[in-house]
Amino acid sequence: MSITVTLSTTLRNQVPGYRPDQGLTLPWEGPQSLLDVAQALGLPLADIKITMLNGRWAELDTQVSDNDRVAFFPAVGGG
Amino acid sequence: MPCALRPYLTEETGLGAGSFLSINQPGIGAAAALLGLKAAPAMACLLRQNIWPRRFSRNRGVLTATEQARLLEARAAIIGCGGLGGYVAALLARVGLGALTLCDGDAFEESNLNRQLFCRESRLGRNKAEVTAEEIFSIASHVEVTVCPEAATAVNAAQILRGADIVVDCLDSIPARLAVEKAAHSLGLPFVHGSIAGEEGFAMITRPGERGLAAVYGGPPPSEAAEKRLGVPTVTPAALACLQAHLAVRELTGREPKAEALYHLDLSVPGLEALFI
Repeated sequence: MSITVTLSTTLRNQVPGYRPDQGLTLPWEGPQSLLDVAQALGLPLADIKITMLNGRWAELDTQVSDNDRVAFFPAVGGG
Repeated sequence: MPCALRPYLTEETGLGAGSFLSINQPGIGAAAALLGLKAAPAMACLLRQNIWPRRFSRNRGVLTATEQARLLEARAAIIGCGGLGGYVAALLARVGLGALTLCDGDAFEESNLNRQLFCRESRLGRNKAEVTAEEIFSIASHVEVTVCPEAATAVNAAQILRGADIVVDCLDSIPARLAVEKAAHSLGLPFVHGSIAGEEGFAMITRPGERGLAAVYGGPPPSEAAEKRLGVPTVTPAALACLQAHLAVRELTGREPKAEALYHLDLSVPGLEALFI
Protein backbone atom coordinates (compact mmCIF):
# COMPACT_ATOMS: atom_id res chain seq x y z
CA MET A 1 0.00 0.00 0.00
CA SER A 2 1.66 3.22 -1.13
CA ILE A 3 1.20 6.67 -2.66
CA THR A 4 3.39 8.56 -5.11
CA VAL A 5 4.33 12.17 -4.38
CA THR A 6 5.91 14.55 -6.88
CA LEU A 7 7.36 17.93 -5.97
CA SER A 8 7.98 20.98 -8.14
CA THR A 9 10.82 23.52 -8.31
CA THR A 10 11.90 24.79 -4.85
CA LEU A 11 9.89 22.17 -2.95
CA ARG A 12 12.30 19.56 -4.34
CA ASN A 13 15.08 21.11 -2.31
CA GLN A 14 13.22 20.18 0.88
CA VAL A 15 13.74 16.46 0.27
CA PRO A 16 17.41 15.50 -0.13
CA GLY A 17 18.05 13.17 -3.04
CA TYR A 18 14.68 13.87 -4.69
CA ARG A 19 14.63 12.47 -8.24
CA PRO A 20 12.21 14.25 -10.63
CA ASP A 21 11.87 11.21 -12.90
CA GLN A 22 10.80 8.97 -10.00
CA GLY A 23 9.10 11.19 -7.42
CA LEU A 24 8.68 9.72 -3.95
CA THR A 25 6.94 6.51 -3.00
CA LEU A 26 5.54 6.71 0.53
CA PRO A 27 3.77 3.96 2.48
CA TRP A 28 0.02 4.45 2.80
CA GLU A 29 -0.92 3.55 6.36
CA GLY A 30 -4.60 4.35 6.61
CA PRO A 31 -6.56 7.59 6.46
CA GLN A 32 -4.47 10.72 5.92
CA SER A 33 -5.01 14.08 4.23
CA LEU A 34 -2.87 15.92 1.69
CA LEU A 35 -1.88 18.21 4.55
CA ASP A 36 -0.62 15.19 6.53
CA VAL A 37 1.49 14.15 3.54
CA ALA A 38 2.98 17.65 3.15
CA GLN A 39 3.78 17.82 6.88
CA ALA A 40 5.31 14.34 6.92
CA LEU A 41 7.72 15.51 4.19
CA GLY A 42 8.52 18.72 6.08
CA LEU A 43 7.34 20.94 3.23
CA PRO A 44 6.90 24.64 4.11
CA LEU A 45 3.11 24.98 3.91
CA ALA A 46 3.26 28.70 3.05
CA ASP A 47 5.14 27.83 -0.17
CA ILE A 48 2.58 25.29 -1.45
CA LYS A 49 0.33 27.08 -3.95
CA ILE A 50 -1.19 24.16 -5.84
CA THR A 51 -2.00 20.67 -4.64
CA MET A 52 -3.00 18.03 -7.13
CA LEU A 53 -4.53 14.63 -6.44
CA ASN A 54 -4.45 12.27 -9.43
CA GLY A 55 -4.00 15.21 -11.83
CA ARG A 56 -6.84 17.32 -10.44
CA TRP A 57 -6.72 20.31 -8.14
CA ALA A 58 -7.58 19.42 -4.52
CA GLU A 59 -7.83 21.18 -1.14
CA LEU A 60 -5.21 20.29 1.45
CA ASP A 61 -7.80 18.62 3.68
CA THR A 62 -8.70 16.07 0.96
CA GLN A 63 -8.18 12.46 2.01
CA VAL A 64 -5.57 10.36 0.24
CA SER A 65 -6.15 6.71 -0.68
CA ASP A 66 -3.90 3.80 -1.58
CA ASN A 67 -2.23 4.20 -5.03
CA ASP A 68 -3.04 7.92 -5.26
CA ARG A 69 -0.71 10.34 -7.05
CA VAL A 70 -0.07 13.55 -5.13
CA ALA A 71 1.75 16.63 -6.43
CA PHE A 72 2.75 19.85 -4.66
CA PHE A 73 3.67 23.05 -6.53
CA PRO A 74 4.93 26.44 -5.32
CA ALA A 75 4.25 29.73 -7.15
CA VAL A 76 6.59 30.36 -10.06
CA GLY A 77 6.84 33.80 -11.61
CA GLY A 78 9.88 33.84 -13.92
CA GLY A 79 9.74 34.80 -17.56
CA MET B 1 -8.66 35.95 -59.22
CA PRO B 2 -7.38 38.71 -61.50
CA CYS B 3 -5.15 37.55 -64.37
CA ALA B 4 -2.51 40.03 -63.19
CA LEU B 5 -1.64 37.68 -60.32
CA ARG B 6 -1.14 34.61 -62.50
CA PRO B 7 2.65 35.08 -62.92
CA TYR B 8 3.05 34.89 -59.14
CA LEU B 9 1.09 31.67 -58.67
CA THR B 10 2.46 28.13 -58.55
CA GLU B 11 0.55 24.89 -58.43
CA GLU B 12 2.05 22.97 -55.52
CA THR B 13 1.87 19.20 -55.46
CA GLY B 14 3.21 16.64 -53.06
CA LEU B 15 2.71 18.81 -49.97
CA GLY B 16 0.00 17.47 -47.69
CA ALA B 17 -3.29 16.38 -49.21
CA GLY B 18 -3.93 17.28 -52.85
CA SER B 19 -2.53 20.12 -54.92
CA PHE B 20 -3.08 23.79 -54.23
CA LEU B 21 -2.06 27.22 -55.49
CA SER B 22 0.63 29.18 -53.72
CA ILE B 23 1.58 32.81 -54.25
CA ASN B 24 5.07 34.17 -53.77
CA GLN B 25 6.18 37.25 -51.83
CA PRO B 26 6.15 39.68 -54.84
CA GLY B 27 2.67 38.39 -55.65
CA ILE B 28 1.45 39.36 -52.21
CA GLY B 29 2.61 42.93 -52.86
CA ALA B 30 0.81 42.90 -56.20
CA ALA B 31 -2.37 41.47 -54.63
CA ALA B 32 -2.29 44.06 -51.85
CA ALA B 33 -2.03 46.84 -54.44
CA LEU B 34 -4.84 45.37 -56.54
CA LEU B 35 -7.11 44.90 -53.54
CA GLY B 36 -6.21 48.21 -51.93
CA LEU B 37 -5.27 46.38 -48.73
CA LYS B 38 -2.22 46.01 -46.56
CA ALA B 39 -0.26 42.78 -46.94
CA ALA B 40 -1.78 40.81 -44.01
CA PRO B 41 -5.45 41.37 -44.94
CA ALA B 42 -4.58 40.79 -48.60
CA MET B 43 -3.09 37.41 -47.66
CA ALA B 44 -6.24 36.59 -45.66
CA CYS B 45 -8.30 37.45 -48.74
CA LEU B 46 -6.16 35.16 -50.93
CA LEU B 47 -6.46 32.32 -48.41
CA ARG B 48 -10.24 32.60 -48.50
CA GLN B 49 -9.91 31.71 -52.21
CA ASN B 50 -7.65 28.83 -51.15
CA ILE B 51 -4.49 30.52 -52.45
CA TRP B 52 -1.71 30.03 -49.91
CA PRO B 53 1.01 32.63 -49.45
CA ARG B 54 4.09 30.49 -50.02
CA ARG B 55 5.57 31.64 -46.71
CA PHE B 56 2.73 29.78 -44.95
CA SER B 57 2.51 26.80 -47.30
CA ARG B 58 4.18 24.48 -44.77
CA ASN B 59 1.51 25.36 -42.20
CA ARG B 60 -0.97 23.69 -44.52
CA GLY B 61 -1.86 20.27 -43.17
CA VAL B 62 -1.99 21.59 -39.62
CA LEU B 63 -3.94 24.78 -40.33
CA THR B 64 -6.79 25.09 -42.79
CA ALA B 65 -6.85 28.07 -45.17
CA THR B 66 -9.67 29.55 -43.11
CA GLU B 67 -7.68 29.18 -39.88
CA GLN B 68 -4.59 30.70 -41.49
CA ALA B 69 -6.71 33.65 -42.66
CA ARG B 70 -8.13 34.06 -39.16
CA LEU B 71 -4.62 34.29 -37.70
CA LEU B 72 -3.68 36.97 -40.25
CA GLU B 73 -6.64 39.03 -39.08
CA ALA B 74 -5.73 38.68 -35.40
CA ARG B 75 -3.60 40.76 -33.04
CA ALA B 76 -1.73 39.24 -30.11
CA ALA B 77 -0.49 41.47 -27.29
CA ILE B 78 2.80 40.05 -25.99
CA ILE B 79 3.42 41.50 -22.58
CA GLY B 80 7.09 41.10 -21.75
CA CYS B 81 9.75 40.71 -24.46
CA GLY B 82 12.44 38.84 -22.52
CA GLY B 83 12.99 35.08 -22.20
CA LEU B 84 9.46 34.01 -23.10
CA GLY B 85 8.31 37.04 -25.09
CA GLY B 86 11.09 37.06 -27.70
CA TYR B 87 10.38 33.47 -28.71
CA VAL B 88 6.60 33.94 -28.54
CA ALA B 89 6.85 37.02 -30.81
CA ALA B 90 9.03 35.18 -33.34
CA LEU B 91 6.79 32.09 -33.37
CA LEU B 92 3.55 34.05 -33.70
CA ALA B 93 5.02 36.14 -36.51
CA ARG B 94 6.17 33.01 -38.33
CA VAL B 95 2.89 31.12 -37.87
CA GLY B 96 1.04 34.08 -39.38
CA LEU B 97 -0.42 36.49 -36.84
CA GLY B 98 -1.26 39.69 -38.67
CA ALA B 99 -0.52 42.10 -35.84
CA LEU B 100 1.48 42.12 -32.62
CA THR B 101 1.64 44.51 -29.69
CA LEU B 102 5.06 44.27 -28.02
CA CYS B 103 5.39 45.63 -24.51
CA ASP B 104 8.44 45.77 -22.24
CA GLY B 105 9.99 48.59 -20.20
CA ASP B 106 13.38 46.90 -19.72
CA ALA B 107 16.62 47.05 -21.65
CA PHE B 108 18.69 43.99 -22.61
CA GLU B 109 21.56 43.21 -20.26
CA GLU B 110 24.43 40.74 -20.27
CA SER B 111 22.69 38.23 -17.99
CA ASN B 112 19.95 37.87 -20.65
CA LEU B 113 22.39 36.50 -23.25
CA ASN B 114 21.97 32.88 -22.07
CA ARG B 115 18.32 32.64 -23.08
CA GLN B 116 16.61 35.67 -24.60
CA LEU B 117 16.24 35.15 -28.35
CA PHE B 118 16.74 38.77 -29.46
CA CYS B 119 19.36 39.68 -26.85
CA ARG B 120 22.54 40.14 -28.86
CA GLU B 121 25.88 41.61 -27.77
CA SER B 122 25.21 44.51 -30.13
CA ARG B 123 21.80 45.20 -28.56
CA LEU B 124 22.80 45.45 -24.89
CA GLY B 125 21.29 48.52 -23.26
CA ARG B 126 18.47 48.83 -25.79
CA ASN B 127 14.76 48.53 -25.00
CA LYS B 128 13.54 44.95 -25.44
CA ALA B 129 10.22 45.83 -27.11
CA GLU B 130 11.90 48.11 -29.66
CA VAL B 131 14.57 45.54 -30.52
CA THR B 132 11.93 42.78 -30.81
CA ALA B 133 9.91 44.96 -33.20
CA GLU B 134 12.96 45.35 -35.47
CA GLU B 135 13.61 41.61 -35.42
CA ILE B 136 9.96 40.83 -36.20
CA PHE B 137 10.10 43.18 -39.17
CA SER B 138 13.09 41.26 -40.51
CA ILE B 139 11.19 37.94 -40.16
CA ALA B 140 7.75 39.05 -41.34
CA SER B 141 7.50 42.59 -42.68
CA HIS B 142 3.72 42.32 -43.12
CA VAL B 143 3.12 42.11 -39.35
CA GLU B 144 1.59 45.32 -37.99
CA VAL B 145 3.64 45.95 -34.85
CA THR B 146 2.72 48.34 -32.06
CA VAL B 147 5.58 48.96 -29.64
CA CYS B 148 5.06 49.89 -26.01
CA PRO B 149 8.49 50.53 -24.45
CA GLU B 150 7.20 50.75 -20.89
CA ALA B 151 6.21 48.29 -18.18
CA ALA B 152 2.58 47.12 -18.17
CA THR B 153 0.88 48.01 -14.89
CA ALA B 154 -2.64 48.03 -13.47
CA VAL B 155 -2.84 51.67 -14.62
CA ASN B 156 -1.87 51.32 -18.29
CA ALA B 157 -2.65 47.65 -19.10
CA ALA B 158 -6.13 48.19 -20.55
CA GLN B 159 -4.78 50.90 -22.85
CA ILE B 160 -1.92 48.66 -24.04
CA LEU B 161 -4.23 45.71 -24.71
CA ARG B 162 -6.73 47.70 -26.74
CA GLY B 163 -7.26 46.21 -30.20
CA ALA B 164 -5.83 42.81 -29.26
CA ASP B 165 -7.64 39.50 -29.74
CA ILE B 166 -5.49 37.57 -27.27
CA VAL B 167 -2.94 38.43 -24.57
CA VAL B 168 0.24 36.42 -24.00
CA ASP B 169 1.70 36.77 -20.53
CA CYS B 170 5.49 36.77 -20.80
CA LEU B 171 6.07 38.82 -17.65
CA ASP B 172 8.42 38.00 -14.81
CA SER B 173 6.51 38.99 -11.69
CA ILE B 174 3.33 37.60 -10.20
CA PRO B 175 1.69 40.96 -9.30
CA ALA B 176 2.20 42.26 -12.86
CA ARG B 177 0.71 39.07 -14.29
CA LEU B 178 -2.38 39.41 -12.11
CA ALA B 179 -2.83 43.07 -13.14
CA VAL B 180 -2.55 42.30 -16.87
CA GLU B 181 -4.87 39.29 -16.58
CA LYS B 182 -7.47 41.47 -14.90
CA ALA B 183 -7.25 44.05 -17.71
CA ALA B 184 -7.41 41.31 -20.37
CA HIS B 185 -10.51 39.74 -18.87
CA SER B 186 -12.18 43.13 -18.43
CA LEU B 187 -11.77 43.58 -22.20
CA GLY B 188 -13.20 40.09 -22.81
CA LEU B 189 -9.83 38.69 -23.96
CA PRO B 190 -8.29 35.27 -23.33
CA PHE B 191 -4.98 35.36 -21.46
CA VAL B 192 -2.17 32.86 -22.15
CA HIS B 193 -0.09 32.60 -19.01
CA GLY B 194 3.47 31.30 -18.96
CA SER B 195 6.05 31.16 -16.18
CA ILE B 196 9.32 29.37 -15.59
CA ALA B 197 11.81 28.48 -12.86
CA GLY B 198 14.78 26.18 -13.25
CA GLU B 199 13.91 23.33 -15.60
CA GLU B 200 10.16 23.69 -15.10
CA GLY B 201 7.51 25.85 -16.68
CA PHE B 202 3.78 26.40 -16.48
CA ALA B 203 1.29 27.51 -19.10
CA MET B 204 -2.44 28.06 -18.87
CA ILE B 205 -5.17 29.85 -20.79
CA THR B 206 -7.53 31.82 -18.58
CA ARG B 207 -10.73 33.36 -19.89
CA PRO B 208 -13.17 36.00 -18.67
CA GLY B 209 -15.45 34.63 -15.97
CA GLU B 210 -13.00 31.93 -14.83
CA ARG B 211 -11.03 32.00 -11.56
CA GLY B 212 -7.92 32.46 -13.64
CA LEU B 213 -4.48 32.93 -12.14
CA ALA B 214 -5.94 33.51 -8.68
CA ALA B 215 -6.53 29.75 -8.56
CA VAL B 216 -2.80 29.25 -9.04
CA TYR B 217 -1.21 32.31 -7.44
CA GLY B 218 -3.84 33.38 -4.92
CA GLY B 219 -2.79 34.42 -1.43
CA PRO B 220 0.38 36.19 -0.38
CA PRO B 221 3.38 36.09 -2.75
CA PRO B 222 6.20 33.66 -1.91
CA SER B 223 8.96 34.89 0.39
CA GLU B 224 11.58 34.17 -2.25
CA ALA B 225 10.96 33.87 -5.98
CA ALA B 226 11.58 30.28 -7.14
CA GLU B 227 13.32 31.48 -10.28
CA LYS B 228 15.84 33.48 -8.18
CA ARG B 229 16.95 30.31 -6.43
CA LEU B 230 16.73 27.92 -9.39
CA GLY B 231 17.82 30.25 -12.19
CA VAL B 232 16.41 30.53 -15.69
CA PRO B 233 18.54 28.31 -17.93
CA THR B 234 18.78 28.39 -21.71
CA VAL B 235 16.20 25.92 -22.95
CA THR B 236 13.35 26.34 -20.44
CA PRO B 237 11.99 29.65 -21.80
CA ALA B 238 12.36 28.47 -25.40
CA ALA B 239 10.40 25.29 -24.67
CA LEU B 240 7.70 27.00 -22.65
CA ALA B 241 7.34 29.81 -25.22
CA CYS B 242 6.64 27.15 -27.89
CA LEU B 243 3.84 25.84 -25.70
CA GLN B 244 2.42 29.34 -25.15
CA ALA B 245 2.50 30.17 -28.86
CA HIS B 246 0.85 26.84 -29.61
CA LEU B 247 -1.89 27.49 -27.06
CA ALA B 248 -2.45 30.99 -28.47
CA VAL B 249 -2.90 29.58 -31.99
CA ARG B 250 -5.23 26.87 -30.70
CA GLU B 251 -7.31 29.46 -28.86
CA LEU B 252 -7.47 31.81 -31.87
CA THR B 253 -8.53 28.97 -34.15
CA GLY B 254 -11.09 27.60 -31.68
CA ARG B 255 -9.22 24.37 -31.10
CA GLU B 256 -8.36 24.69 -27.41
CA PRO B 257 -10.91 23.06 -25.12
CA LYS B 258 -12.54 25.43 -22.64
CA ALA B 259 -11.18 23.53 -19.65
CA GLU B 260 -9.08 25.18 -16.96
CA ALA B 261 -5.96 23.15 -17.69
CA LEU B 262 -2.56 24.03 -16.26
CA TYR B 263 0.24 22.59 -18.39
CA HIS B 264 3.33 21.63 -16.42
CA LEU B 265 6.49 21.23 -18.45
CA ASP B 266 9.30 19.48 -16.59
CA LEU B 267 12.51 19.25 -18.57
CA SER B 268 14.24 17.43 -15.71
CA VAL B 269 12.15 14.29 -16.41
CA PRO B 270 11.52 15.39 -19.27
CA GLY B 271 7.76 15.47 -19.55
CA LEU B 272 4.61 17.50 -20.05
CA GLU B 273 1.43 16.96 -18.07
CA ALA B 274 -1.97 18.63 -18.10
CA LEU B 275 -3.38 19.35 -14.65
CA PHE B 276 -6.99 20.30 -14.16
CA ILE B 277 -7.57 23.28 -11.93
